[in-house]
Amino acid sequence: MQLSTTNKALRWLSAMALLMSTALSSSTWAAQQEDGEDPRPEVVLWHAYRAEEAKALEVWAQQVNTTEKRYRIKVLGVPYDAFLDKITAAIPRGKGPDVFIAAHDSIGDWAEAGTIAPVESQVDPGFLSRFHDGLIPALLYERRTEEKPVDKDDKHAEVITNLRKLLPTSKGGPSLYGIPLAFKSIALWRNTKLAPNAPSTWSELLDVAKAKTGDGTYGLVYENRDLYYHVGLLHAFGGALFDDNERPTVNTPAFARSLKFTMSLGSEHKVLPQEVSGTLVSGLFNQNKAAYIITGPWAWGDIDQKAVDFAVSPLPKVDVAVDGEKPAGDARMKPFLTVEAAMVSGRSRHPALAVDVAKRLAAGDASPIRLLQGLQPVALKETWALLDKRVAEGGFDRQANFLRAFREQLPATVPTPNTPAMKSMWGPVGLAMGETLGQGTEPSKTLAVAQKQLESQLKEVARSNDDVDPTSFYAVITLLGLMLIAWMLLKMKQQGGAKQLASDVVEQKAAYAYAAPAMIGMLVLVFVPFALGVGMGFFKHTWGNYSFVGLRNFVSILAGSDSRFVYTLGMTVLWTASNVFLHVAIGVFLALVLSQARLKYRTVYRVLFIIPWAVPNYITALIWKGMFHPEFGAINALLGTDGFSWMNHTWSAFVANLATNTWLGFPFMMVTALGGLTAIPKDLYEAAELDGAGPLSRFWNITLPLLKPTLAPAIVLGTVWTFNMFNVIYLVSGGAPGGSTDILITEAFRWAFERGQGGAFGYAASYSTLIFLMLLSYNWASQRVTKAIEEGAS
Amino acid sequence: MSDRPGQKGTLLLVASHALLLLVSVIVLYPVLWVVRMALTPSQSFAVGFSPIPDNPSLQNFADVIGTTDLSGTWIFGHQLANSIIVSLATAVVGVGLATSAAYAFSRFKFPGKDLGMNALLVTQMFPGTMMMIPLYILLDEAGLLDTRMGLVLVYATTSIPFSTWMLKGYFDTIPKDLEEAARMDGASTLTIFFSVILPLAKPAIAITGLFSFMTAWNEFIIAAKFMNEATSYTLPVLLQGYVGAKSTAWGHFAAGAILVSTPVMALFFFLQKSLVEGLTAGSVKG
Repeated sequence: MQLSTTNKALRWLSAMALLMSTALSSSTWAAQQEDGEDPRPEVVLWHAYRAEEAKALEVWAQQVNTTEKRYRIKVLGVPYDAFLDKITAAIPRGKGPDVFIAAHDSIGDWAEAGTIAPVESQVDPGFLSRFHDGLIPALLYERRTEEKPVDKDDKHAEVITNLRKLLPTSKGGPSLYGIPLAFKSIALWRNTKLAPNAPSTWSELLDVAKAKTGDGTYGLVYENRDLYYHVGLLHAFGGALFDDNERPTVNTPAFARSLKFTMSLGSEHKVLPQEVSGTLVSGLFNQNKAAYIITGPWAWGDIDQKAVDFAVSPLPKVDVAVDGEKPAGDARMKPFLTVEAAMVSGRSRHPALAVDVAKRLAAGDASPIRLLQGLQPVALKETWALLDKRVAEGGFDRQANFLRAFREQLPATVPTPNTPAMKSMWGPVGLAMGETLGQGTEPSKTLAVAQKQLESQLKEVARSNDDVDPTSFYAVITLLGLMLIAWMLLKMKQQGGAKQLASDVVEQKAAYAYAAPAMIGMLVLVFVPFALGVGMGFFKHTWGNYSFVGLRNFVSILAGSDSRFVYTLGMTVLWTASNVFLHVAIGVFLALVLSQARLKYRTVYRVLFIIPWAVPNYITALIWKGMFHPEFGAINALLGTDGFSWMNHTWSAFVANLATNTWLGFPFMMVTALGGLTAIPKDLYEAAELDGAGPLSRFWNITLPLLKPTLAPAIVLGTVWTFNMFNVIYLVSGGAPGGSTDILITEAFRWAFERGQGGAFGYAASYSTLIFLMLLSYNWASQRVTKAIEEGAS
Repeated sequence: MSDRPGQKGTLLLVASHALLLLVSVIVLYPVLWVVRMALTPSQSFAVGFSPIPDNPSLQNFADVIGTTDLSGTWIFGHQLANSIIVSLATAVVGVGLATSAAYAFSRFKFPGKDLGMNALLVTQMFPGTMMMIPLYILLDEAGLLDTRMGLVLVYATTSIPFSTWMLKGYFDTIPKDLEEAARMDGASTLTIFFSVILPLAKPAIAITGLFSFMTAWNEFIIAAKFMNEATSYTLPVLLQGYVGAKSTAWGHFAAGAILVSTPVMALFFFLQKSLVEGLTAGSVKG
């Protein structure tokens, strides 16, 4: 009987192994069929488009592949969230695409790192003039790390001269790093039933908006707290983010006035709802509850064409007085311009073919398809002539109006700067705007704080490495090494000395055999990357270059002037403790309730309660965030606290995060407890009951201790996971207000991506190492405490 | 005696059901929103209080399931198959490796045992995002980039720590007399492992199987970064594809989320029995 069970098990295992290796080894089925016969080289094109744009691209690629003899194009769509990192990781290893489509503001990073190749030597002088004005300069960049060679080739020299005219501050001559495909900026959309005419000034807009606000409808809905959407207003008031020397200057009177204007939209004119997010903008517009919205061409896909009659027009001039004076001069809103371009990989195996594909995408047969099918405002001027023809065919009026509006807005735009200073801008200014618009704090105050933060960040970037003292680094490493050796010797002594240790090892070799597969896997796939990650923390990463800085990152994080480490650590501990407590309490409680012998429909409940764990937490976290909206959220509707802004106070934002994470986390504890309860023999309960023990006593003395072995790992690991729970904090409160509900892991993320310098991966790595050390000490301490308790008890 | 119905017993049951119903409402409400957006043929985020869709339609589901590329390849089908294969493989490999290691940690005393257990725990403490690039390089060197095998290995090692700890804890509760009895009958260690230990540890294996499966099933970042073909992606990548830089196709995203959650629910439904019906009353444990 025993033998056949073992045989069955072994046979089943080998069948599984065979099945799995077959399934896992074939990479893809389709690709193997296609690659067979086609001799043309493959040009790989990556993009992060969705919906119509993605479709248009594929249609074009298919057309090319049926007629082009020199190559064929392979298109791969990548989700936006993963796209930039994938490019950065893949290209240096030679695993990336030959050409890809991306926004212009990352070219600085990529050019420095050699991820993209300059293309000006492969375009004719006249080629670039076929594109709209203002697009080419956004794609120019001058590497700091090499001298630009002067080419004697006539054609090339002429192109360089033209480029130098476009970027006058250059030294040796900038290079062109992409060929423009389309341009995107925000514009004014209106519900034609509520607002029939396109306003040319803000007073016109406000008149209509105020008349239409009421009864759940709002005159104007746009993301007022987002710097990207505010820049247009800033420029209208005569302000700018940078001064003439490219230093950030945000504490200017112009910026303060522009913010006061935005504040008045909500507080004085009352045309704007609270806490506007992108989803609220399109949501309200679709329900015909927004007269005007301000957003970009990306929102086309979100709008319900059948439900809303709308039109798009350029942004109006600011002719409204703030603090008694109207903005001087032009007063046109100049929002940021994003130029989407085709870029050529610096490691492409077919660079000439890649450039050809890029040119075709921008100026060849792809342009009409992108315009008419993808609804992209294309960069090539001549394609727009086709618009009239298409409109004449009928059924394209709204689309044409949509496209033309953005082209009209184009002259009044400013390309988003691709400098490191710009990348640092979003964090501090976002905080300032959040506080001003959320809590009503005086703009000059919040902007002054932002300016200070920006200056200290820039100082950090510019800081040379000359003062890096490797001595402290070596000292710490040596100390750690000695401690490790001392600990190993101590352990050996505990085991009875080296010889005893050796014989123990040999004796227990079966145990090692059992544990080996798992441990080897962990070693290779976890410990090695982990060690490399820790190593990265000793470097500073700026513009694709890593430079050694020893312990300086750690010092900055722990003791820097704007260090929030201790506060964030405290918040993280509070977060972790409250979550784990609630998850375990609720999970165990529900498991007990569900384990009652006479409870019917148990299965139904159990499967139901798994749902929060089963549904991807990205979407449910965002739904929870929506539920906490002050005006449209379900929570306030339920509690009757309409208008209460949960994200404006630290305690309420914390509660929002806690509620969401508890909802997400209790099923896991419940399932674990359910399993653990099965390990408790029923006779123990019966015996206890006979002895007269009540339910509480039975729980305390039988259930809890016997549940511990199963529950303990879940609690320990649950603590670690909650400590590092990024999604909920980032998506629900976003650290609001002002970063006070951020935990260590979200702070680390901000150090990596929101403190500029083209990606402070060194900082992020140091921060991650610190997080790790915190958890390690917690674990060590709690194990000591547990041991002490157990020893004390026995 | 303890089974005697009575006022107190019935009251307890009624209270239990009331509580469970309340929890069900709390559990379901946010999800009903997802369902609502999935059934509404629009791509914007739903606003309002009621989770009931106005004009329900299955268009979003049809769109997601029908995702094909222009040459007619059924992308959704490929990605679904990849997800199933990778997740099942992760469950098998993860549970297999963890069970074996847990057995060692539970039944043997050997040098490095505590270190090993703690090392497993320690690996969970390092934020995963920093390991992405080193992992990428590692897999590339091993030739496992853009392969399902590579994904399985990465996912399995992610789930091993919890699985091992959980299984070890459960194994600890199984008394050693059973094994000793079997050993005296002449059974080899392998036989004991398969015929004695594993059947008794079914609930723990069910938990760890489900956990390993879910680790792989819902994972998106590594799949999106490490795989280079649309037909090699897993389902979560398709799902995240609906999230753009500045806007999200909520209708499709919600429909995709529902589709992605359903197999997990089904799996849990099937595993339930093993999870809960571990042992019969005390006879073995006495």
